[in-house]
Amino acid sequence: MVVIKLVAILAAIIAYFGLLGFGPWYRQLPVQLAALAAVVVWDALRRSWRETLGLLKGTLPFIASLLFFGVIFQLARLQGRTDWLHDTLIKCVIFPSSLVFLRAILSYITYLDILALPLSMDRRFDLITVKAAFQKGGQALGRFTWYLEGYPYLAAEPGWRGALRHQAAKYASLILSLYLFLYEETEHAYLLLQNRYRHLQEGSQ
Amino acid sequence: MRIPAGEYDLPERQVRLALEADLELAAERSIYVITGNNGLGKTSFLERVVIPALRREAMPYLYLGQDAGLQLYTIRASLAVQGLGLGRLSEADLLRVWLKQSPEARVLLLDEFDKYEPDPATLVAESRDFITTYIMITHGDPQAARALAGDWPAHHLRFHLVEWAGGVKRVRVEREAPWL
Repeated sequence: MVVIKLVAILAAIIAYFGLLGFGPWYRQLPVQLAALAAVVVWDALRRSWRETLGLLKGTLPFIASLLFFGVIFQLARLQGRTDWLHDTLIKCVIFPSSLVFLRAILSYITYLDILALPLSMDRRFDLITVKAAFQKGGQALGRFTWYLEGYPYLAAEPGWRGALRHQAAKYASLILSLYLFLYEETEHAYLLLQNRYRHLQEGSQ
Repeated sequence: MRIPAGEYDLPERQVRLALEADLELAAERSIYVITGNNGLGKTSFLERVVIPALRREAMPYLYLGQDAGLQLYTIRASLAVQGLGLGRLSEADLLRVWLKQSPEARVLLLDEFDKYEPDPATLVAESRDFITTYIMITHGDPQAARALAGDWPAHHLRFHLVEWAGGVKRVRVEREAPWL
């Protein structure tokens, strides 16, 4: 049963990216916008509007940098192309929509599902650890963004160069914070899990 | 800048605050010590009222939250992005560097920082040259917190539960006369 559920989730992910990310609907901006709206409502109903909007807010620096380069490339008609702006807008919708979609659909995989998988205990530990760490990472992302917005040395400087440097520094800090957090959290969760498993085994012998 | 007296809704904590007197921030040297029982919206007051007001006024500030363990990731990462190699620094030293990197800051907010290292006294000593207003939430002795700022004017903000009705806590924030 668990395997069927996971296969269904995997199929939904492949279908989503197959249709919207790489397939026939990729260039359909209205479809992309509708998909974004749908996954946002779905995720908000599963969690809360605050969490969903927090995730979207976390993607804003990346979207802003995408837009910036899209406009520059469009103005420069890079490689003779005139569709840079349209292509950038699509990517600006796909990026948050994919993140929200993945978070929403992966939330249906529970720890019990992982435990019931026909895998070795070590592999199940790995999957549980990854799920636990990323779940915490998702929760921490909004808080990290909020903290970083307050540090005086990351404040925006005048002019567009200053604004760009500020966004880049903030975004880099966010990614690095998340990386450091996930690195420690993964290690911590794995050790905790192994420790508890060992005690349970000792207790049952 | 001023946080005006009045009513403030903190829906995520189901608290309605009545701030009895204006708070003057960064106008002159001062320290605000905030006390009150858990669940009365002290942290939310800082994060939903005071800090947004500081941001609106573009008043540089530093805030160490209750979840400093989580916040330290952002401090370590953001300082590394500034080109400072901080991989091996202890948390206490990291915070000292963080303060030194932020001489523009005028307000330092510490939320229950009594339980962390370095202690608030060290943080105050390291930042007295540029900070003009300290705001501290403490569950410890308010006099001890007040003493950190030496002879600066100090104010005590007490969060009192007035009524808990319809799932909403009505909390009065009394500002006591400045300590001498």
